[in-house]
Amino acid sequence: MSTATDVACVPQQALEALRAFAAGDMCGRCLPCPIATRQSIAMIERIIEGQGEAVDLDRLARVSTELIDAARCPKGEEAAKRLGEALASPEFVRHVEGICGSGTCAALTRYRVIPEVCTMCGACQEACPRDAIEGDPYVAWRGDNRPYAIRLEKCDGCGDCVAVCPAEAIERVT
Amino acid sequence: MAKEITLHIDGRPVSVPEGTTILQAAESIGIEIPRLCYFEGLPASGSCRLCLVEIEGQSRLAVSCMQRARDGMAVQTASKRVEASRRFILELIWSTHDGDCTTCEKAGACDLQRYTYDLDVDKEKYGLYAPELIPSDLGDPLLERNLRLCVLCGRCIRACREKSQGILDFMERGMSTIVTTSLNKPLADSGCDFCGSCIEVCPVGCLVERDRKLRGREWEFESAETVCGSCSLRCSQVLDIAHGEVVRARPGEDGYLCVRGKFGWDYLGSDERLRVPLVRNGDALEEATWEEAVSKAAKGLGGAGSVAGVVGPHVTNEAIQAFSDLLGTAFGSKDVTFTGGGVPFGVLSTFGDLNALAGVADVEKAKKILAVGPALAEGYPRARLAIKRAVDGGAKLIVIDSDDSELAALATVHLKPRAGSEADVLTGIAKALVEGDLHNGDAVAEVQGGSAAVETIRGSSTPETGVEPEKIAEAAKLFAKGKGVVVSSALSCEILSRSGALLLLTGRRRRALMPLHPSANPWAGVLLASAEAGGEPKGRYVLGADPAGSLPTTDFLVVQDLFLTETAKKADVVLPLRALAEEEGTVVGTGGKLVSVPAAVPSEIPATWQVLAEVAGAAGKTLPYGSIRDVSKAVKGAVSSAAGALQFPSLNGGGDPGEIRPYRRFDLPEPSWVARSQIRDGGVAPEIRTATEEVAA
Repeated sequence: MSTATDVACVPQQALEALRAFAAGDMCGRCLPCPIATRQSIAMIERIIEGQGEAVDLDRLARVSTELIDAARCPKGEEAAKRLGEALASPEFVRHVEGICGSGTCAALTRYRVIPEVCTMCGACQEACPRDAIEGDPYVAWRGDNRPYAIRLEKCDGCGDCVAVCPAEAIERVT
Repeated sequence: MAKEITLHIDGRPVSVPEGTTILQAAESIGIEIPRLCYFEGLPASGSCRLCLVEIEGQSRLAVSCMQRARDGMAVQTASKRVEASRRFILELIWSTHDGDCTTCEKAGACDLQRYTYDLDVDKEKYGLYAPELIPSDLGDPLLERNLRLCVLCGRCIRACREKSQGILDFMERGMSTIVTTSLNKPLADSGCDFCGSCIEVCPVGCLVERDRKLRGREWEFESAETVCGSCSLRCSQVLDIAHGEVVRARPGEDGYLCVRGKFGWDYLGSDERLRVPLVRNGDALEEATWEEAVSKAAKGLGGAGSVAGVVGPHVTNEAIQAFSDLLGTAFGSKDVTFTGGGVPFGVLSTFGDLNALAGVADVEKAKKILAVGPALAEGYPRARLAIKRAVDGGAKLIVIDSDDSELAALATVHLKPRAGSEADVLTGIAKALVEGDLHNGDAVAEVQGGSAAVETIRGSSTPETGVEPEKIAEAAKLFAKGKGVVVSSALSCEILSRSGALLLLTGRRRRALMPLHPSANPWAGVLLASAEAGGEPKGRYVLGADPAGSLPTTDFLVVQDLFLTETAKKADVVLPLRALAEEEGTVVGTGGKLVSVPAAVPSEIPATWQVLAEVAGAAGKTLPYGSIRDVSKAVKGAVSSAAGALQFPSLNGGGDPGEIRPYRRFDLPEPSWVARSQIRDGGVAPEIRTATEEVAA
């Protein structure tokens, strides 16, 4: 089974492991394994997308315990145990609360512009693929230019703005 | 005898033979363990995981449908842990089962529904997963496959393999697993023979007969056991009736129906069925009351002077008996022709009675099977299944077929003669038996003309058939010993009498010959119908037969049938006829025994013997019957008194039944209802070959 992963996020690791199981070892000939895996993948995908609910955690926990009994072969059992180990980490609950501890789940990551550091160059606005950054570039003789700010409802947490900021004026808030 | 072991299930002691599974042991004391993939009679697969049970001292749950019970075992079938596991599996199934029980045909008989109720399962625990990817109806004829309801139990796969063509399997893999045909092709393009065995085992509403849809709920069905009338094998059949109509057929005790039995019953409720009598007024046939029609029939036949009768092989013995009596008593005629063809003559002339007739159970138990005739497997799927089961059990199969048919693929020896020379191959085998001294001399000596026939065979020349002599010798050697049967789909007196000769040569006389015939009751007609051909008749009564093309015109014609057949269209009086499923009476079964059939389906048409008695009454005579039992008594007498002697048949002639008993040939078209059934529309029913070819020849 493929276990190697360089992703730091626990739910993402769990998702990868289940996908690898589905694409590799799973035969699909006994009933609970394929359905439970499909359901678990869908739920973790939702959690990573920031749409997870507390009930999903219950459902996943149910898979991780019951599939050990229900699976026919050690491979299904192993998959369930690995899922259980992942669920033991506080990261799943934090994800449902809207926080990805490692900052790798884009949907759960949000940034803000630090006004004191911002040089008002406008590079972040140019780079933003979602048009989520408001503000006007600095013009010396004008007094009404707006400072740069990220509109959280439009931001999808991609982090492109962080990469282009020459002044390191953008920081993660979640 | 296996050793008895004792174990405890849910605290109750149970003793079972060693090798019994835990599930079966529980069932023997009335404890039902939920299951979706296990089905009695099919090999277990252990894939649904619903039958898991807890065994004391064992950390893992055990699959009770696969795990054998052991002495001293303590099993819990409904512990907390077991029920939690079951509930989990059912929750998962509901996440793939895009169904609504309120409109599902299977509601009330659905295992998923029952277990869901029993365990109070939360159906919405896991969200429904992308069901729109799978069509809700794959568009096959006769049955609907709705894979959105499939629970991947695999029962249909195993049923198809065990009983039919083995065309279903798990396709794709992992999370995309579905149950379908190779390349997901339509059933009709995958070699499906539409026996519907898959439907019988489906635990949910995934596989459903189209014809039953929206015609009643499972709990409204009243079931009637009967026999299928679509060929001479007469498989046991259960008809489900809702709101006065047949809506579904299921296999009975035998556990199998072919497409004709499973789907071909719809003619019973056809709009084209004759339900009221018709009488001729000039060019037109007009509706009439029974009284009117019966009196007109009696008057017309009585006035004709000389009357003859024609009766078909689809009616009960009682109908044939009463018909023959009517002709004799009321119209002074002994000219009653039975249109069952030459086959019954081939049996009767050799064995003297019908005890030689074998049933499917005899074929399944046989060690040597000789199968002769075209399209045997295709035309008679139940015979194919019996032969396949025997072969799987180690029986040797000799096939005489000019084609590379389905059956030939199963054969130990396939003799492939030129079409038309099958009978000569049988003669060749007889010769090889005698010359190799493989025949049973003592048994042959008891047969009238037996010893002389053996000498004749010894000196005869081998007929040229296109089959190598070595192969014929091999077949003779193979067939000589062991429990053997001959199965024949050829409707020819010649082939049947020579098959009989082979059986007599090898000392097999009882339940050893299975002639296949496309009618329900072809055997006793020649015993019950008093076939003394007279001159050309002026009046004729045709009962349940449609010999239109070969029937000479008469001054007055009465036809009684299910439909307005070609013959009926020419009639002066047309009387409706009950179908076999609607008529109480007997038919001739395995070993020549009389088998009772009930009136399974209610009918507004009077019983046939009553109609015939009415006609006699209108002609001023009385048939000596007060009830159907009286007619049955007469049938019994006629069949048992007809026992003749064993007679070794000629291996050269024997092709003309007329040499044996008075016999007049009529065409034997397929039963009048076949063309009116859905199985013909779908184009999926294999036709029985030789139904017209040889008999009409």
